[in-house]
Amino acid sequence: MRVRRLGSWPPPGGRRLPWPPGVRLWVLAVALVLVFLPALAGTAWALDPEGCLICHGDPNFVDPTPDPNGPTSLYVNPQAFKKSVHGNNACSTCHRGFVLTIPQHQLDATKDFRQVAIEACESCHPNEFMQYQTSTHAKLYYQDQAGPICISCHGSHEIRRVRLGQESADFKMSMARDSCGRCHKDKFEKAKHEFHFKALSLGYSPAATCFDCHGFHENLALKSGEEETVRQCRKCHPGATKGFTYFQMHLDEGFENAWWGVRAVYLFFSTLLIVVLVVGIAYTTVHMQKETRMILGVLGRGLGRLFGFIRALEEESVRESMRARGATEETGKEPGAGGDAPAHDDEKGGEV
Amino acid sequence: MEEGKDYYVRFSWYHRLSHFVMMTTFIGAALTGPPLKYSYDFWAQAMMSFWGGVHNAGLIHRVMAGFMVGDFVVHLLYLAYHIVVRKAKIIGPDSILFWKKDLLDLIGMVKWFFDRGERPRFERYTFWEKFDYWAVFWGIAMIGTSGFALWFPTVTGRFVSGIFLNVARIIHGDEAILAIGWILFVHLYNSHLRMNVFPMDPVIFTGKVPIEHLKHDKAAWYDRLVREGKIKPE
Ligand code: HEC
Ligand code: HEC
Ligand code: HEC
Ligand code: HEC
Ligand code: HEC
Ligand code: HEC
Ligand code: HEC
Repeated sequence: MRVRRLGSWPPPGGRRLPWPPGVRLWVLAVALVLVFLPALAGTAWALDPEGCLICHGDPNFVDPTPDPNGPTSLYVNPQAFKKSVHGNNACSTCHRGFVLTIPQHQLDATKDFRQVAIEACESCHPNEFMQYQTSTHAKLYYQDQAGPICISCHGSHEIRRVRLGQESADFKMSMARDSCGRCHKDKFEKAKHEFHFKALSLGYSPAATCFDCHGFHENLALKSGEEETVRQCRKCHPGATKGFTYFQMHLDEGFENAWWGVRAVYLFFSTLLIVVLVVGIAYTTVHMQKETRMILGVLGRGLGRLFGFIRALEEESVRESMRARGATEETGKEPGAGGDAPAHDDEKGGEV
Repeated sequence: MEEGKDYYVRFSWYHRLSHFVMMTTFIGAALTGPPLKYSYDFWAQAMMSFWGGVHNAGLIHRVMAGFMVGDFVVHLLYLAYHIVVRKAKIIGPDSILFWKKDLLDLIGMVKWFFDRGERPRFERYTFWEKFDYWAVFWGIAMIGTSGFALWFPTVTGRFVSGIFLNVARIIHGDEAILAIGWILFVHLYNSHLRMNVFPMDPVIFTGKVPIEHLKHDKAAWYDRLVREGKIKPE
């Protein structure tokens, strides 16, 4: 007995399905196609739904417009981009206003590309943008583009996850040298000889780098003795007081830009160091020359004795052979021995 | 100790212990400090990783500093005891204080270097031994004070301006290099390479010096000991 008739709707037995069976089949088929088509189209599609990497994923892809400085590479490394924090973002989230009408796929011609980049970053990172906006860096950027923008410090396609408070010493050091240090070379070169950076260069990550003291977006102009500076130091030195912040991070190696007291101490102790060591080493050296001469004297006497000893051995062997000759002459038994062996001059041998 | 030789006890167990502590802590500190000072030089990285990083090296450095300063403080107490309680004579042939003879000895020594005279007849402490002794006082005062200032920077900042931390670092580094240089070039020469003591003068570890050695190395003292009947003439 067939209980169920094909096409009967709703089916008997009271079980309600959302759609009639024919529709279900279609839904399944469409879903399968939707799921597998991108996979079939290859990973390229998943990474780059907009197809930008068809051209920009080629390592040899350069800007076709003639340039006296040589061709500019327009290559974007797909693997590196995929690994960055924005690996899942479409290119157009940052490259806004791009249209695929090659060859003029230009930005909004009225806007500077860097400005577009800031706006893009702003759209997703409003808090950081607000912090940045109040900084001297931003002011300088809007004035004459001298200050850094987001991408000057973060890069563009290979932005890594930030691990606040757990940065490695290498990261802190390279941030100071290659990022802040690119524009603040003198400040870095000076700070380099101070404890925090020496420790960082030896892999001690708790020590402070530029952004630990100056903040990364607020871009704090610290002044010794101010509350803000105390607050920054307190992050790692809980007992910091105003007096403590008079410690100078950015003195040059000869302490020429320091308070005269520091320079005086520096000159006094370096002079002391040199004078004492020079006197000490000079004294030791003249002591050594005396003793070297004495040692050479002893050595000379020793050598004299050694030569005497060798000569004595020689004499002894001569004497021995003389004795042997005398013995053979007496007995006449030794056949090959004797003959005309040259007579040794004993006088000469024993002279010296 | 060689058999059949007579020895004179020159250093008590306390002297020897205190020198031993000073020596080991000095070496420990001298091996852990400079890699930080010269952190950008190629050898510093290797040396730091040998100690297991800045943190460990810093720990060792502080332990060494603690024992060294402890040794020094005990020595101050020892001096106080001898001067106040035992009423030791502060100046004289048995004293470590400089006196006129040291200057004459220095001149005599330089003359001897250039064959212009006999080697001076030294008393109990030669001038270079006295210098090494007093150098420790200067070193501890300079390196120790600045070291503690840097060890507790915020405490320092509570009493004096933070600029003195910059000053402390200059003093700490320069004086440390001076001390290491002095030990390497002068002290080690005097106690290991001099003809009289080569390859090593063990007296600071054994406390005993062969009388025969005393006789030519510290002739004046030898004469005095014989005069005072402390040793039998050879
Ligand atoms: C058909 C190849 C092709 C595709 C696809 C393509 N581009 Fe381009 N792209 C170019 C060429 C050619 C240039 C150089 C144009 C010029 O300098 O005028 C260029 C330049 C650029 C520049 C540099 C602009 C400058 O002035 O420095 C950016 C940014 C860029 N493309 C982004 C993209 C993005 C984002 C996509 C995807 C939405 C994309 N491109 C898709 C060919 C392509
Ligand atoms: C997080 C935002 C962001 C994303 C996402 C992004 N870009 Fe960029 N891209 C930038 C910025 C910022 C610059 C400018 C870099 C500079 O001037 O140093 C740039 C520059 C470029 C350039 C110019 C040449 C160069 O390398 O400097 C090309 C081409 C380019 N991007 C293509 C792409 C493609 C293709 C994608 C997608 C796979 C993509 N970008 C995704 C931010 C982004
Ligand atoms: C489409 C939105 C979008 C745009 C545009 C964008 N980002 Fe992001 N960005 C994100 C998201 C989402 C994350 C967090 C990723 C995660 O946590 O997995 C992120 C993470 C980051 C991080 C790491 C933060 C952390 O806590 O690890 C930095 C740095 C960053 N972005 C900088 C930039 C810069 C610079 C630009 C402009 C060139 C930019 N972003 C543009 C969405 C965006
Ligand atoms: C002067 C250099 C500099 C500039 C300019 C800058 N950043 Fe940063 N940014 C940093 C540093 C340094 C960090 C912290 C990195 C770390 O601690 O690992 C950071 C951290 C971040 C983070 C993670 C913050 C968090 O709290 O987790 C985001 C997101 C970010 N920046 C976005 C931006 C955006 C958007 C802009 C532009 C409006 C920008 N940055 C401009 C240097 C800069
Ligand atoms: C693109 C170049 C550039 C980069 C990168 C850069 N700066 Fe600056 N910064 C400037 C300029 C230009 C000034 C203004 C002139 C000056 O004071 O040297 C400035 C000023 C400053 C000031 C003084 C602010 C004031 O109000 O006087 C501080 C502090 C500072 N930067 C810290 C940093 C730190 C920390 C970093 C790295 C995270 C950094 N900067 C990265 C260009 C840069
Ligand atoms: C241990 C904290 C600390 C670190 C790390 C540090 N600084 Fe400073 N920086 C200060 C202090 C404090 C001042 C103010 C000094 C003063 O009062 O003269 C200062 C001053 C400055 C100034 C001058 C600000 C002005 O108003 O003129 C700049 C620029 C600067 N630092 C950049 C840097 C850079 C770049 C780095 C990394 C290489 C760095 N700093 C690392 C604490 C630090
Ligand atoms: C990111 C954390 C951090 C910040 C912020 C920081 N420091 Fe330090 N600082 C350290 C660490 C870690 C040490 C090593 C402490 C130790 O081992 O004794 C140190 C040591 C010092 C020392 C001792 C230096 C030496 O030669 O031994 C001084 C001085 C100092 N900091 C000053 C400052 C001042 C001033 C500020 C604020 C402008 C500051 N620090 C901000 C981490 C920091």
